[in-house]
Amino acid sequence: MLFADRISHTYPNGVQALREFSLQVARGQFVAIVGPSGCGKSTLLRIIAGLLQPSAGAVWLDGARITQPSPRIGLMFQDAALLPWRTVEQNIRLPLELGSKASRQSSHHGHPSLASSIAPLIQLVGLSGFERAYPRELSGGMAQRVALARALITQPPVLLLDEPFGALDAMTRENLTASVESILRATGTTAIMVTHSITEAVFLADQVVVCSPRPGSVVGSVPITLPRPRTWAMESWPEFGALVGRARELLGRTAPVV
Amino acid sequence: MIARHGNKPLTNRSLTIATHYSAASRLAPLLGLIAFVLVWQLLSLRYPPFILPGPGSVAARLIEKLADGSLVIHSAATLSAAIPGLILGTLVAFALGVPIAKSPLADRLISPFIVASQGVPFVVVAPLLFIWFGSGLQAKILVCAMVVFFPIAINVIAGLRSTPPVLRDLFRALGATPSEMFLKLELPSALPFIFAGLRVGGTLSMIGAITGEFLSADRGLGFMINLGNGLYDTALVIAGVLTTVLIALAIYSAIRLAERALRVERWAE
Repeated sequence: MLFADRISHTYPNGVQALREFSLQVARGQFVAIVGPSGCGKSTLLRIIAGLLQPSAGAVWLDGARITQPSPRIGLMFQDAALLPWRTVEQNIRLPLELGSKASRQSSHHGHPSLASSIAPLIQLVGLSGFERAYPRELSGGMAQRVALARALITQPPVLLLDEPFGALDAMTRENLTASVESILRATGTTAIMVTHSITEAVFLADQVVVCSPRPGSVVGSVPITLPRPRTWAMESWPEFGALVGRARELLGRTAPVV
Repeated sequence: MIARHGNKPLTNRSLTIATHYSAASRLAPLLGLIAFVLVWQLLSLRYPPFILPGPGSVAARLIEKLADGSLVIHSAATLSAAIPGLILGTLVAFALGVPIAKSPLADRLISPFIVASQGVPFVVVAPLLFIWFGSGLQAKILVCAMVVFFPIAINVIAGLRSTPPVLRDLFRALGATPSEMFLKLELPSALPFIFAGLRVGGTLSMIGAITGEFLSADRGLGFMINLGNGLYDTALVIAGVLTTVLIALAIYSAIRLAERALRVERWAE
């Protein structure tokens, strides 16, 4: 279980990004955080990832406090962040090459067995046939699929997604969200995603958390009761519309929706 | 024109434009060369040969110097200063550039000296090097390294600082060690910059070596040019300059080849 306990963060320039933000995510659960621009969503993810120390509060993963990056937490950004001089396959393997031997062995998952498991992973994310392509030859959606495979290769129990579909066109976006939904369901990965899109949040999540404008704190949350596997056909269900409406209503309480 | 294709990838659009104009753009350098030689020939008719010899007499001088082997000896002497000078300058550029890029303290400590060094007129400092190191090869290599190091250092610094922050976050999140961060991220990210610096430095290395030879040498292209100057043998001077330019172009091309071999064009997104 992942537990963010009353996280507050103020940047050195005096901007308070988060105020007593608390979040509890059960194993295998998908939580989406929606909120207005600049509500500290990305700051929260950086703190959970161990990339940033909060001014106050703590993050716990299965009882251990997170103070630095851990191989147990995978990351996906809005930018695919691929190394342009590496092929698709070499980019996906990157996490296996980094970090001291000691820290790699202390992670809960044995890497040697993973090295051979890249082919099924490439197939899982739909990149078969592109193993030797370079990032500049890929579309935005394909690049994000590489980033997803790279995040999953160490089989992290937790995946953090920072607006991973934000830079994609609508069609690619629907396609990729559906892939992510089925892949995370198949791997049982716990996921926390921040997004601007309420529809996307409702489509993917078990729970949608709405946060307030800066300094960000939790306004409320909406449990998503839609069955899995999710399909975009559900978007026309009255239930889907009602859930989107409830999230939007919570968001509207915090600030005018722009 | 220089390195335009190295820095920007050929997108579909630029590719179609390139094929559309390819016949004309391929011939352009040749046409330019022919025009240059023609204008030169016409101008040379108006002046005595010790002021402006024609292309013919310069070519004759070149062939004569090639035949008696002296052009090869002089070129080899210049290259034996230029290449080690380029290598030494590159090493110094990295030795200073890497700490400057990585540490604000080193930046504030070293950068003023680097910038100030560019205000020093080399022709004035070079004699000092000859006093300190004797009039041999070492002093020539040092002059050359001084000339070469600045553009490379500037590009090493800019390149190492150009690493996208999101990639830094990624490497930190993946638990990369500082050496992995440098070798697997920062250095490869900086390669397009480093090669840009090397291309400039590579062509400058000939200027550095020749400056050294102007001040003190008994062989080398700089010595040969100086000799021609003294004898009012203007054809020899121009032959020396042409040889220098050709060698500088060869160094430039060699660096471009290395860049292609590493396929640095993949970096551009």
